[in-house]
Amino acid sequence: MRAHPFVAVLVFTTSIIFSISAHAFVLSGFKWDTTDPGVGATLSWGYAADGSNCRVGSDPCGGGTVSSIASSILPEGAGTIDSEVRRAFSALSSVADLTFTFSNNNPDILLGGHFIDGPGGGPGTTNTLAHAFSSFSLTTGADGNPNLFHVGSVSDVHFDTGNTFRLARDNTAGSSYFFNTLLHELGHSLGLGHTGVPNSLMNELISENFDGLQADDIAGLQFLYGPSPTFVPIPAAFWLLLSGFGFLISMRKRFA
Amino acid sequence: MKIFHLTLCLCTVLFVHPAWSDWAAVDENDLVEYSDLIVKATWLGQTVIRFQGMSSPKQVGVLQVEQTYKGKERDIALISLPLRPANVIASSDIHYTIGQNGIWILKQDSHSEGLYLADHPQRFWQPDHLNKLLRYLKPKP
Repeated sequence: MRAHPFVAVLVFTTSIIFSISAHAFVLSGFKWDTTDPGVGATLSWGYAADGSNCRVGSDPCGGGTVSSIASSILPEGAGTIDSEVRRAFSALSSVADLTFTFSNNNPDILLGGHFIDGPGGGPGTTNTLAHAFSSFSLTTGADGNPNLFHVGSVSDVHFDTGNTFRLARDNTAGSSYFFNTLLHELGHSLGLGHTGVPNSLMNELISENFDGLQADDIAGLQFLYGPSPTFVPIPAAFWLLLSGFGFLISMRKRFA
Repeated sequence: MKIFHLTLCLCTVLFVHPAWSDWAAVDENDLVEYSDLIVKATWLGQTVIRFQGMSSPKQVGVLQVEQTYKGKERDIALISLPLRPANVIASSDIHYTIGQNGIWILKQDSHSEGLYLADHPQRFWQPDHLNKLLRYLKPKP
């Protein structure tokens, strides 16, 4: 069977069109420290105490310490969960003007775990891995109208202790990649919503085919908080354009 | 050149391979089989109402049903939604838009009789997925 060049061009063009027609990053309507987009923020984070209640929402958060979360959801243990959490905050502050400090004294972002719905109660039962509940102060401008952004008050990230997570990004069935799940929830805590952009961490259809923040997530975070002073952008658009030209030239030479 | 074309096709397929983030993916066959109501319907909107015998109000979404594929036929289906203060956002809440039309694969809300749950992204399918739904609904030999 010979793949017709027209088919290949059609597939390529379709994939490009679908990428372009997808939505850009989605904002939840709040950010931290200030209502102005592009302005950085300093946030504290910590772990929920055992048996404590959630600060946002009505769910109980018992079993929230780092060790109890780790023992219930991560077979690898407590030490590894803490290093993954720190890696996630580091990934965020490396792309956007965000500074994170650890504090267990009512921090801005509180990480915990509680039973949400387990690994799915049977065939056809849906399964929530984690969620983020955020509250914010409603703010209005000088004209009395609501601001584009409200100011974040507190955000709680909860992992479902009925699920199993893993440190390895290997698509193993029955468990989920902890780092991407955590980073996705922290994206919510920082003011990002679910996006339609494929291969984005904030996509509802996120995959384990990549590790951490992707271009659209970075764009969203930088829109909200500005780029990190140390951020060096990858010229992805340039390489995409260059590869497109290369493809067209190779096709032209082949079928001229 | 043939390998190049095949690689191109493979890359396209790989790049759209999905898995869920806030949620784990549900097997579509199971989703259909263990749902209580499947309809083609349009999201009319949502409102807060108080049911008789219930102490607290509930937020309810309203679907105008065009066709029922599973469950008792009806013109309207009511969807149970979480009720949150104006200054709270939960990442697991799904926001449907007025006029959103498609196939809704709903589960009975065990806490509220007569209300259904659309609490997972896979519970809504685009209308052009009807043939897939009909395949799943076909009686197994």
